[in-house]
Amino acid sequence: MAAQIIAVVIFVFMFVMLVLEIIERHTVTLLCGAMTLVVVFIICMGDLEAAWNVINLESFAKLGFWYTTGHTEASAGINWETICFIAGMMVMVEGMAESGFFRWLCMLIAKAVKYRPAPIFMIFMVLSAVLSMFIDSITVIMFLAAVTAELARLIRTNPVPMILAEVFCANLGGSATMCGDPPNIIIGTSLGYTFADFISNTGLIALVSIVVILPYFYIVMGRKIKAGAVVDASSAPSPSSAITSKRGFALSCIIFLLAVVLLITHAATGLTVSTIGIFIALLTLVCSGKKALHLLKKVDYKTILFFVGLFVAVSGLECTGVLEILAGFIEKLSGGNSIVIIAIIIWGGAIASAFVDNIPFAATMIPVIKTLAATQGMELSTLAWALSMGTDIGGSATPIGASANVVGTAIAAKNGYPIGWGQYCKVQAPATVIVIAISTIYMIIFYL
Amino acid sequence: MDKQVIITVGRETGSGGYEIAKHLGERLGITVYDKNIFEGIGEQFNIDTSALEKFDEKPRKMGITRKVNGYSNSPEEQVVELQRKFLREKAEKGESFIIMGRAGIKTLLDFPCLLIRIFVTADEEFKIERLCQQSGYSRLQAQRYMIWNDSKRKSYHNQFCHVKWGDPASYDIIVKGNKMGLEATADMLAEYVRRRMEQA
Repeated sequence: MAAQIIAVVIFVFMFVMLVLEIIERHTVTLLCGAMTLVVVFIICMGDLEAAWNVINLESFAKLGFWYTTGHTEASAGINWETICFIAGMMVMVEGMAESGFFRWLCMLIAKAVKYRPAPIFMIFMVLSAVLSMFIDSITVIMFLAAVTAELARLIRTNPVPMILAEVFCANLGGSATMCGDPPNIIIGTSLGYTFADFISNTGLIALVSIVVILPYFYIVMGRKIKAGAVVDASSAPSPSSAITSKRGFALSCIIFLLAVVLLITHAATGLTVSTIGIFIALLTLVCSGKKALHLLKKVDYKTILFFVGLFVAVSGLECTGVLEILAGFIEKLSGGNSIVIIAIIIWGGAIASAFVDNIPFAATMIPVIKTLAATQGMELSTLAWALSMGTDIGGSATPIGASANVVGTAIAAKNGYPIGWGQYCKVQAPATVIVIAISTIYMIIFYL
Repeated sequence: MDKQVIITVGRETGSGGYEIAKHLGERLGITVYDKNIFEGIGEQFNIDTSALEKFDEKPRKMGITRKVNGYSNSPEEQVVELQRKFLREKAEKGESFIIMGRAGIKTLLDFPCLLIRIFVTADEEFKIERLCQQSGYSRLQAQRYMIWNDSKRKSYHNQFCHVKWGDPASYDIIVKGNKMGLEATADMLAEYVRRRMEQA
């Protein structure tokens, strides 16, 4: 009982500190992770072995970490598979950014549509969704929003509608695949789902949603965008000027395509996402030659440390049985009705993710849905897709709900267009409700 | 001016800090950056700053804004970043100037030039009278405004500067603007700056 109370106190403290941002988020999770190990596992439970299992270093020595042929379920503790994949993708993305890939792509598209705002608006939304399927949405928005602001200055228009639409589509695109959004990577690696599992489930829901959301954004904002100036293509920056090194550019394109192919085929090849992440990172480093050290230095180690601490803190809740109590509460609340359980997971996940980081939320909910599947006889995958859509899309509703929103609104403000909560939520909250409603209806029709 | 000097001026509401800085700028022949900093930012970075001005010298709202990979979606923090970038570029070009508040201390503390940090205070009665005259406030309104605005400035400064607002340890000189009069205080400060420049 004492272990449960302390695990909950540490977890709540962690969430509050993450919201307040008084200290950096990786420091918060590492500190809370350390407290969980010492106070919960060692002092309260007196179980050194459990504490060691939470660190989960032996997972590197298991075949399943590198190669798998079927669905496997990870044990509680640090999910090194997620961490290795995210770190690997970070290295690849840094390599692509260095070569000017993202800027080149955006400038090329803008030039192809003759710098007309409405086509840029629509195509950048699709581009944002497609890129976010394979690259983390923070990176996608970091480049897309910066180019959007630059183009908006060029054609003398307000970049805010475009940036808001791109942010939403980045989150939506991220929900479509296993590697698009951190909650999906955690769900996929923890429950043993593949890229194909995601694309044929959340991917289809995201596809239906984007068909509805593109016209929504066009009607609400896109059709009102007017260019203040007609741009002469010869005076606009040339797409090729974005490329810093032709060799680096060609290599990063090849590595990116290889990563996409490996991810799409990983169920068939048996390579795990961690193996793919490590391989792609090593390939990027080898190809970058002398710049390898520079690339490694640019990797966001704080995010990796954030995940390490987070997984330990969540293990405290899992191993002490707190998450089983939470699962029991959801069961009672739903009265055992599958539709209500799905609705609670999607809408609860969406509402929570709108205000708190969706990564800790998803990590916490995985053991809960495992318990629910076991006790209610529901398909675990159904609950996993519900959790994925709820957490991935819910974050779009507010400026602080998802990392892409923060980066997008920060870039807008940096360019003289601060976006307040009112302005943001007026457009994004209805879009979020639309997609969450579509997801709920889709799941009820096709999964129950 | 032969040597580069950068002066930061912190001030209490109603103390006459801005007028003193304005006179000091005239005596020394250097620019005073206050709200006009936005014109410079707009020109330098080719952006329209009109929507940003309402976030000037305001503390970041915790809990409703977030920071990701160094990107903050707090407009208050973005304004501070733009002001810092602008001031550092001015400093790197060798320009001498006075900056009113705006976390200037933090921005320029490690810059290799003569940095003089001034804080202007005044007796309460003087501040209340000035506020009543300038803004048409009643005495009570002036008192309330003073408390509110100083608390906002303090919170802003302490959030972005990591040194305490009004703390003697954070400044080179603290003056009461009403003791000698605003112009005479500016004269005295101009003399102080010249002496420091001779010694530098």
